[in-house]
Amino acid sequence: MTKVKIEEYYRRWSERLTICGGVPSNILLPNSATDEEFQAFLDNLFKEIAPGKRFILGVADTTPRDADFSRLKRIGEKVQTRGRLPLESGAARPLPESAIRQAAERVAPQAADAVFQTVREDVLNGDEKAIPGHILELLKRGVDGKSILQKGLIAAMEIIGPRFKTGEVFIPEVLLSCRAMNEGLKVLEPYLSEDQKKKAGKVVIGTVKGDLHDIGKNMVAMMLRGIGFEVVDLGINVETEEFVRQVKVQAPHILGLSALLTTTMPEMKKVIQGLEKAGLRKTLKIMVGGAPVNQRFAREIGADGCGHDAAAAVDLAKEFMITR
Amino acid sequence: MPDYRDLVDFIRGPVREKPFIAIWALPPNTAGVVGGIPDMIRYYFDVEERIRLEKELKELLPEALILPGFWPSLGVVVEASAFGGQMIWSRKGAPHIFPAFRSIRKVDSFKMPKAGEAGMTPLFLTQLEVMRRILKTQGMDVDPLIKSMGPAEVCGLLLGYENFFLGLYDEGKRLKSLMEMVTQFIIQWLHLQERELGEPLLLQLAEHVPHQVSVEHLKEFILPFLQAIYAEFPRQVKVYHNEGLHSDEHIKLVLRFGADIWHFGSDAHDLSELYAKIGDAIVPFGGVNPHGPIRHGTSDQVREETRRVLKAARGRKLLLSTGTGTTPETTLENVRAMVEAAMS
Repeated sequence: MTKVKIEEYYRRWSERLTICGGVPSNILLPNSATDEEFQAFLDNLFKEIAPGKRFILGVADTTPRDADFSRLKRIGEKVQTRGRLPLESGAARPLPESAIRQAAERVAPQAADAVFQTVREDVLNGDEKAIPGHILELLKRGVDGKSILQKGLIAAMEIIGPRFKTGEVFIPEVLLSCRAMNEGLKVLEPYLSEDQKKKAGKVVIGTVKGDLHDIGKNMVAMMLRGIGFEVVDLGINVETEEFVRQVKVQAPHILGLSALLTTTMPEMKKVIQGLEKAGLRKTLKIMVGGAPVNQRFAREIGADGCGHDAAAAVDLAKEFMITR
Repeated sequence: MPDYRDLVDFIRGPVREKPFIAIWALPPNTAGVVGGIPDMIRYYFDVEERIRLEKELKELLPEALILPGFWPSLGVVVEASAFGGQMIWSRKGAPHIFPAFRSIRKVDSFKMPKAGEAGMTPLFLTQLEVMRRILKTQGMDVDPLIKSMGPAEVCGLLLGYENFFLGLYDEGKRLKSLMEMVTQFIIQWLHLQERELGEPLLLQLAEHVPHQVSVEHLKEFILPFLQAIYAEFPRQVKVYHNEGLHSDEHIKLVLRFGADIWHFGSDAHDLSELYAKIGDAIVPFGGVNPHGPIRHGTSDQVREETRRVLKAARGRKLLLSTGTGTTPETTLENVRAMVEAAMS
């Protein structure tokens, strides 16, 4: 929150990103502000957040040990008394009534999005047989393809990732959802305009030379496709030169390198060196992953991040697209 | 120098003050400890070269049991190779096998292969025999252990893991038939190894699938088969090798497998927390994070981590090691630091 203004968040990302924060940790320290200043900060914060889109109010990032807990209590009280959506808009950034109404709809999707519930459930349940029929049904009813894609298919995949991360579902269930998503996309694709087909980002991915494992890499590729990325999967045992060539040809936003074996991890560094040599390194973000790969290794070889598992890799890719 | 009898006594006897030190020494991961393994194909197929390296490892770490030490190794492909499938061998790393079954429907007409005749199994047994002959001339013998990949792991290799996972939903009946066939094969295969050795003391199963499926799938598709294999060998101390992160519910089922030792992921599970979940029902093997200081840090950092691990294990049984395998970058100096901290 210290680097991103709430206003900027609304302008750039509020349609696709939920943000958590708003209360800088130092404002909770007794000596950082007077009680009056704290109250003014709080009032203004609520105005800035108004009407309240995808925003989870919280301390960014940690509540300090010496925090004045009465201030936390005041935040809680404010939420209790003034926290019902839509929040009142503030003088700092007045919003028209329509925008407030739209935001209220977004935070209460059950009414507006109920029409997509069947498709979402098909993806969540991995029902590849039912999904084509349900999508066609929606199309016949005049629902536009883009909404089905965003509020049905992608919305469901956005749920699956966190469920996998928390151990609510496992690899088989994610694979089923990805398969259902792909079946849905096959039906939907002809109904999407070129503009609507526009992807969230482009990723080239592959398992490095000498390594023939692909389950993790495939999971990442499927989950990325599921949330709207274009993924070029180079497969397994990919030579450094091939990675470099494909980066040149495909011009991706992100390169994903996978290795399961500790013996093949050094190949990742060679790929990064190859990209540097070809003058391509700065054109993209690089994420690495695989059982033995960790953040420290990623840093050491000059990658931009490490996805510890498939869901983490997907989160990382989304983050890359926001911060690039 | 501890041996397998000491290990059995440690597992079956009362809690001791000091941990038992065991190094999981599968190549090429131990390359850093022995100063590099230049040619993995030679390591796998040249029995004398393998004996030389294992001997070197034992001499470098006399306070630890090397697990496995003198024993043939052909990577993860041995059992799956008996069912067909293209193998890839590399001079730089471990072998790989591509799925033998394009469709799980193949199981309807597939006849169970014969262990000792199919795939790499006869070569493995021959290597075992040759190794014994050579070692006996030097007053030594192969290690008294039998080992295999687990049934779900072998099925994953045969079908491709994605098809295995989807098969849990799409082809449950056929998948169980395949698991049944593979389990019978593994039992046959382990008995063959047992016959070669006489009275093995240890049984190792490497099975990386259980934590990757739901508790319901684990119960239905994996648990009965693992239980069948472990139950077939009541006299041996049994090891379950899986470094994945297991939920509490998965851990409850691990305790029902029938294994005595769990070679667990020490980067995935905190030892103190693990003890709270497993009690004395299974002995943890590991404790030192293979991706922590032992891989990247200094000897002092390794000693510090080891002391922390030993503190968590106070009053409990622990096979101190990296959990699971060491990585090729791990130096002898750091492994020695772990051993010395445990001995002091």
